[in-house]
Amino acid sequence: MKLPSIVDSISFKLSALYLILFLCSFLSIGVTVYLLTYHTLEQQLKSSVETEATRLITEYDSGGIDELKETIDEADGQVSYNFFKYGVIDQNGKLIVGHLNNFQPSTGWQTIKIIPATNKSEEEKQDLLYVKVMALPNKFWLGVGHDGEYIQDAGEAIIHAFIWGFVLVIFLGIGGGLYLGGAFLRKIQGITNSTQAIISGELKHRLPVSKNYDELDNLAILLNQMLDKIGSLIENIQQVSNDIAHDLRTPISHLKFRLENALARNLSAEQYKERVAFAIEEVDTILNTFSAMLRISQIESGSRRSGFKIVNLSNIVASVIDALHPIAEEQEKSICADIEQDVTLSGDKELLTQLAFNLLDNAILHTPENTQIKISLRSSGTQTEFIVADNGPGIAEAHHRKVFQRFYRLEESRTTPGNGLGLSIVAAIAELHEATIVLSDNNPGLKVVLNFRYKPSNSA
Amino acid sequence: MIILIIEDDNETRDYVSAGLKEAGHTVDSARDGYEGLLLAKEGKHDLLIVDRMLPDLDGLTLVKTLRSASCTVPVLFLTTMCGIDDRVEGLNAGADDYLVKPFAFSELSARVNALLRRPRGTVEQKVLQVPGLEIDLMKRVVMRSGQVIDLQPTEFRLLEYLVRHAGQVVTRTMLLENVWDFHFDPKTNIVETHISRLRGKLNAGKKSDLIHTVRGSGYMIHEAA
Repeated sequence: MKLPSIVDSISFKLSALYLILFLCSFLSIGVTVYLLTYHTLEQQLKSSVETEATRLITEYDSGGIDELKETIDEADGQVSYNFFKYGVIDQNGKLIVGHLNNFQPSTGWQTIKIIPATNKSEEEKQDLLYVKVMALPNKFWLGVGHDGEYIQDAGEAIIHAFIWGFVLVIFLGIGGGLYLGGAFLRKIQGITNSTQAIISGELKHRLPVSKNYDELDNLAILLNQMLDKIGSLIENIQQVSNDIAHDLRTPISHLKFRLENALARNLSAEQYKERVAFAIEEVDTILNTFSAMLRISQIESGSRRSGFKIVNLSNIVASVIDALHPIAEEQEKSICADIEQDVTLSGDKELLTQLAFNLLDNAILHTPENTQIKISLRSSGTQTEFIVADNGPGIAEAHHRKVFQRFYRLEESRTTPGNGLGLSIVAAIAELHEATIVLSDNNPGLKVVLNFRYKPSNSA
Repeated sequence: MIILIIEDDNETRDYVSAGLKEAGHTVDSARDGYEGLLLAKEGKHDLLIVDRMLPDLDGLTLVKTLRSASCTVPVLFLTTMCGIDDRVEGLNAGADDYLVKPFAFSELSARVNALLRRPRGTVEQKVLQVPGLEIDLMKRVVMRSGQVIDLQPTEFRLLEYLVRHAGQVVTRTMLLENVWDFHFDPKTNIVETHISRLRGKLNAGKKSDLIHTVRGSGYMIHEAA
């Protein structure tokens, strides 16, 4: 599988989206700061010009044009710390007092551009002058101006700062996006490689998990668990195929020999009938083995778990004892039951019946006469213990695990009827119910202990 | 009796159909679910034998459709041996009995007879009777020729089932399912052992045996001639 390029990756696209959103908000902040600063500075300047103008008007009111001229000349003389510019013009624009003359004879605010005296050569560099024009009696106009260049400078500084910030954010955003996208893609690449390895047959291969334990790692851990489960199921299927190959071939070939043998001889109709009946019996045995094996596979698949209900294990065990009691008696074996009443658990009634049946049936089948079989069912609230124990010959410890394998039969029980699947079914049912099953020596005899852990029901 | 068999496998269908005809029934057959449903809706059949897996319309849906159309004809479900959930699903869908393939014809025949004889919606009887035997279901008392026979609860249920199906062959599997509620195949001879005990108690001091063994099939108690 070809991976998408970094630019196409989800992380990069997300980063790009965040970047655009961030730039938009950055831009709007920039505009707001610029406008606010500009406006505030302008207001400050205008207010100081107005104060100066008012002062001059007061001078004029008290001493007329001469007084005003004197004040203006005095102020103009203090160039080093006075940044105001003054001028009085008549109706024709002729300068009467001061230096400022290029304003219009109408009251209000005017902005005029002047070329500063210092560098006349540079046409570009023009100072902006804010001029407050006030009407004096006798058709004279007083203009008080102040240099507004610093407001422009401040505005430009803000714009520059924001442009640089903008560029920086774009670079960082794209860089971060590429880094994140790349890191993400590297992880995906790892998962892709592992998956391809698994597809190509390396079933033991697992997805890489980093130490960050991020979402992808959690996902990888989960997928690995799934692969483990699938792996064990595949092994199981292979096991079943092997079992079929090994353990069904024998009875089927026996059947074939018998049928060939019958065909080769000249038998009477009655004899043929007998052989056919015998063959049917053999086929039935084979079919039974088949269905037992399929049953085990189905139980192991776990699909039955969805149908679990609260079942009364005490009643199940009692019914199994009731069914097998006469058989034990017939074979001179005694069953001693110690069953706690109304022990319930969440499970499959049909399967739990078979589990109890197989265990007790085994205890009866594989023990000599006069054996005592003890069955007990106890519940302590947190766990339920079901025990089938006998004082028969027992099973050597080396075989304790093996007896649960399919078709495994102990040498001493080869002659008794059975297909070697009874305990495999028990193991599968126990596993389905998350119960542990342990065989131990009963000194003498065999003790089978099944332990159902208590599971709080979801409905409670 | 008219029996409809809905089964896509030719061999099974012919095998069942031939056997049922031999037993004196009239047999209709259908190869797929739709054909089966159309025939079943005619309402002339006394029993349906329906395979679980059918082309076009599966057996479960077919039975559900029939039941939702208030069709009460008895249905015997045929399931494959690997579908251990099929039994519950089939019975929930409205089937009356089920049989796992492959099966012996004697088993099918016994179940067909049991279903055909099943009284539909009659009043629950309080006393069951066959010649020489009386079972009081309320008092849980069994009398053989006027003599009270003491039975264990399981033996009582076993006898009750046999008497309820008097005149019909009852198979080992039917007994396991209905008396013990065992839906698996125990290799041990539970049925044989319990029947032999029951026989012992019923026949004590009597000359005739009430429970007849039908070779290769099961057991039967004769009903009144």
